[in-house]
Amino acid sequence: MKKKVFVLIGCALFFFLPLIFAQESAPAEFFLRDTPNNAGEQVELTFRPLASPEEVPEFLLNITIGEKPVRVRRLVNAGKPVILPLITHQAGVPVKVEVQGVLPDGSLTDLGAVDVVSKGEWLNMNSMKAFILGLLFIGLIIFYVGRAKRGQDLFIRKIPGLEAIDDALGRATEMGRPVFYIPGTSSMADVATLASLNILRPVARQVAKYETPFSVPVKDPIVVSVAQDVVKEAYMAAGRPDLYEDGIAYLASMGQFDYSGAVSGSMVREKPATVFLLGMFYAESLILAETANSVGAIQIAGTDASSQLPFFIAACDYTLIGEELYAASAYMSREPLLLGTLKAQDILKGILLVIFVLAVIFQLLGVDFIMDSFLNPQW
Amino acid sequence: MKRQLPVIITFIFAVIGILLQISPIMQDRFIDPINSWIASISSFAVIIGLASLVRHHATKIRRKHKDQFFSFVTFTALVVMATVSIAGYYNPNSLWKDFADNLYRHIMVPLNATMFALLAFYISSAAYRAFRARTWLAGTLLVSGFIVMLGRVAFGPLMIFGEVTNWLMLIPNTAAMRGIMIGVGLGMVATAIKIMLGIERSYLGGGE
Amino acid sequence: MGMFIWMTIALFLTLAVFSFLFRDNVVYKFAEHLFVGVSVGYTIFVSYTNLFLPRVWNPFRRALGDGDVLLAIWLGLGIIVGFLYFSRFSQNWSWVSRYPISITVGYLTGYSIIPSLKARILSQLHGTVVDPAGDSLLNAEKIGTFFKHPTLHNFFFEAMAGPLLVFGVFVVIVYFFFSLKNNNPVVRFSRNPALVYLMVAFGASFGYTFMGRISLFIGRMNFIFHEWWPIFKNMVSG
Repeated sequence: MKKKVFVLIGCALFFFLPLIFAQESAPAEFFLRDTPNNAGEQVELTFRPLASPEEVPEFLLNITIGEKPVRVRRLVNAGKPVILPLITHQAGVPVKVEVQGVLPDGSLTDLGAVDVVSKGEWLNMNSMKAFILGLLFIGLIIFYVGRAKRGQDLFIRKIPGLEAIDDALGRATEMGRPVFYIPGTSSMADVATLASLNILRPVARQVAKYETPFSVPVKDPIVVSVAQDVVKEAYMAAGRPDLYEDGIAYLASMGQFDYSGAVSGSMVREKPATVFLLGMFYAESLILAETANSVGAIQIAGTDASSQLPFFIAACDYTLIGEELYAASAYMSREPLLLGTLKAQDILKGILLVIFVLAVIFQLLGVDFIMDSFLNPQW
Repeated sequence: MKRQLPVIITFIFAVIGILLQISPIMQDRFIDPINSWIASISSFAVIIGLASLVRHHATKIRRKHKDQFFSFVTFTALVVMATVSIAGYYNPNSLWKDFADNLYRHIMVPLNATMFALLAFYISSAAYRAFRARTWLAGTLLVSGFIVMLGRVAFGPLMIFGEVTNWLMLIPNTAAMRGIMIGVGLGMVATAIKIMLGIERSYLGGGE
Repeated sequence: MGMFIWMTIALFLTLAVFSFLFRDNVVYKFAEHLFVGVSVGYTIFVSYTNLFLPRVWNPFRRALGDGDVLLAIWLGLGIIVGFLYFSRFSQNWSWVSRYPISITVGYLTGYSIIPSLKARILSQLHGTVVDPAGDSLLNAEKIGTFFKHPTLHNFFFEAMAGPLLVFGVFVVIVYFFFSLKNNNPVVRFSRNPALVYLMVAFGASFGYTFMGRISLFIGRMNFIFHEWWPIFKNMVSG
């Protein structure tokens, strides 16, 4: 008897369970969460339609953000999940989304509501790998600078553009014509400008030693004051403060093309024997390089702007490509501190290259581990 | 005071810069106040830059340089443009505003556009000079440049150049530019760290 | 009439700048110096109205008005720091201007470190292992596609595209090692391929920009013949 009851209950469950589940399986699945790694200015709704477009062609989202009135948004059921960002502007804003399904006959059915309060994060996890890489870099630099300080010899290969600088300056001296140094046309916000000012120092020192006329036309007002200081110190270091005047580094103009017009004009009138074009450049690069060529100057160019490199390569005598510009100050000054940094940079590059090769090989074997954990900037 | 303190200030503000990058909440709260300092420094720097420009031209005038007349042109244009534009800003429905707009539209814009257009000639002369170079590397540059030049305007049976151009831009160009960019990134960060740690001090006029 | 005069000034300046291609001359010098004056005047105006007023002065006054003492002090300090720049006008005190400079340099370099590491290094390397869709660049399927349909297009765009990209990035990075001697086998092996990649890339970029630059000149000619000339013709014909 007992057995029969169990069998009956079992059969009943077998028939009714699907019905119970069918009732519970909603036409859509959705949840609301605070968008991670931000200051709380956004939350996001993940919406996954489960019913087919024939059953529920559309959904209505009644969105309430903070005190603002309810906003209704129609979502056509395309059968694919969507992620909908909702802007809260700041942390601590409650967000509520009530969802209704629109049935083919136009009637509405309530599907429930979700809510969340936007919150900010103190750490952006998507910057953490870069941050750790930065710390590693700092560690390597401190280590190699320490080694360099202890007098260990650090080998640096020849960089042709930089080897040519001495000859180019000597040529200007022999010809009795000036040297022009253009530290790019960007502001201090570009690290390339700083790199260029680092090269300006040894160049200015040499120029002062040779007593060659020198001119540093600048476009940015902050860069001009730094350039003046650099040139002044370099002339003092060369023992020729008498040759220094504030007008050596001057502001030629403040706009892109007026600056290139003014500098081209000066080049044509003063006929420099050597022109340095080092730093960040934009479209004006070719105007400057070609004018320098037209007055017969040796041009030593260098930039990290990949869009301008082709023009320098085509038009200039020597071009420092990309990171050679950054290596230049260490290379020229031969200061152990700077050479140590260059060494650290190479070591890190080597490490990254090995990781890259391993990632490629493992990816080929279907293993994403190395790529995901070391190269993907996302946490 | 003259040397050590600026290096310490640089370090502190570099750390602030890094913190703002890794912390969304700190960025949200502090980026505007910090940027207001940078904006303030930049606006005062414009005056220093202006002084440098004025000195450059004043020296020409004082030394009775043969081009001193043109320095007067610069001064006049500068004063007129700045005054008229600022007057127009405070009186938006006045003749000042019209005058400022005309100065901008019929002097600055055409000068800018024409100076930019000089590049049409300079790019041709640079291409011509590259053409005369005899090394195999320059040859490679030239051939690839020539194909892309054709490919950009190709039609009909020349469409093959269009295909080759697409490939050149997609594979070798991307590869080389990416390689350069990774190296540049390392160089940039190395320079930034050098400056942050006070290893490189050229921007303070150099010296020890 | 007023419009015609302004347009004619623009025409004169256009021709003045082009005259520089022939040789340096008085007309170009005039245009050049005028351009510098106008542009610097305009920069002063823009720095005042778009930088100083909205981002320094107005927030400071607003903070004072709202009684937000802490913010007002901070913003006021910013103005004083900017003011320190004026020490450059004095011989003895010019070193004080190092403070605003070190603040700018420090902040901007610090702020650039993380984005450089992320966008210029990690993302680029990651993008050289897998494409945006997440497929390996050394995809055996794509090579298979070529063997199924052996066309030139499939060879270059499918089978070889990924491998050549990965190889190119690798050799170019190796090319820029500074501390490896020139006779190092890896350097020796990658030097020539790297140079080919670089030169092909520079040539391609050069060619890609070429037509754009030519069209700038055409733009100026359009101004002369399609904007100025019709107005001139109308004036003359009454």
